[in-house]
Amino acid sequence: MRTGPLSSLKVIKLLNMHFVNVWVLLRELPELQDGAKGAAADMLATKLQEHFVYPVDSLILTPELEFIQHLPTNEFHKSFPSNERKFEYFKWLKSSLAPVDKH
Amino acid sequence: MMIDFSNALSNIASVKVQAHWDPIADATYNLHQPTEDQFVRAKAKCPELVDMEWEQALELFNTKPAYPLKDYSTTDFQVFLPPSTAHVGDIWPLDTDEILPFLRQFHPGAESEISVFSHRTSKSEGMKACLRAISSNYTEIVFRIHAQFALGASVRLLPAQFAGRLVLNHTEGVVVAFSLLLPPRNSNVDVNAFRAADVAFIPCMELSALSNAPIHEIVWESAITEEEARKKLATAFYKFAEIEWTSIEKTVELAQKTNRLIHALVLFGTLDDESC
Repeated sequence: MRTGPLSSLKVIKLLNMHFVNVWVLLRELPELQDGAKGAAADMLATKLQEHFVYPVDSLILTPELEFIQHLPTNEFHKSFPSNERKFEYFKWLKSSLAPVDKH
Repeated sequence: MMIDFSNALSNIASVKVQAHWDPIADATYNLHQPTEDQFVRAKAKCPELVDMEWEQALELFNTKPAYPLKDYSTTDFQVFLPPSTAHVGDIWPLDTDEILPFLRQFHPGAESEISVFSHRTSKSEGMKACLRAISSNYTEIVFRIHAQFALGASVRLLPAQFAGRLVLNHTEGVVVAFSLLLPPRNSNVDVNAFRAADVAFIPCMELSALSNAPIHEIVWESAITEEEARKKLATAFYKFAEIEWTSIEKTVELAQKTNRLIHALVLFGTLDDESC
């Protein structure tokens, strides 16, 4: 991911403009759910745990923590060759924004 | 302010550097502590890669520095400096061949070329430094090193990164402070052994110069924060570091305040270093 879609200038620009970006280690989710970093982090970690697909997953949530969609990396890699992944990830991010754009 | 660093560390004084290296304290699959059965199975599967006995394999991971204390010449530290002049915030590549002798204080198998196998993540090689601060007498450089250790024929240890700092008195040409450490974040090392991979945690792996210099008393005339310098270095290694990442404790509040969606990555291994 880091040398693929997340290194695309278009993706970086879109993420910085329209999203709040966070990454978290799978192994840290339990302690976050135990409140190690506060109630808001606990709620977010719980929601991520609920929808996460092993071993790496990208998830989109509303500011109120409603789950919109996710893109498990293994599935993503199987579906698209490496030269198409930057564009497909960009498209996937844009599709998350679509309902927001309509408001 | 601009200083010519081409011959800034010319003093002949020696610098004593101590090394500390804890064994792995935690790991996902405990690849570093195979049972005898697991080891025998791995050896039967790939005899050409597992050229040792079980006891030797366990001993490989009982890590400690090759040289707990080593004398360097002041001029040895010149390799961390820019080749000529530099401004605060400038970044330059370090000569990997010249840096490796420092890492070999930990282990003679230090290598700049990352060759970990059985892993799909692309690795980012290199060693870079950033000029963080200068005053009329002092300079502070922070640096980032990606390197691996070949502990045995089929055993590689890839630390997440080494984060370093060098403070020098460029007027007197001496080293004032030096440290190079594996950030103690869990997880912080990629273990490749016997054709399998693991992510592990080493609590302390550090080189530090023995020095009593009162660094906090230095009044910098031009500086960026250490956080800014580290971010510049990260961006020099990884394009994705240009993404504005938020800590998990601030994510929900920021999303609600700015009415932006949350884009979250949940990962088996760390994103912004070489530990996975």
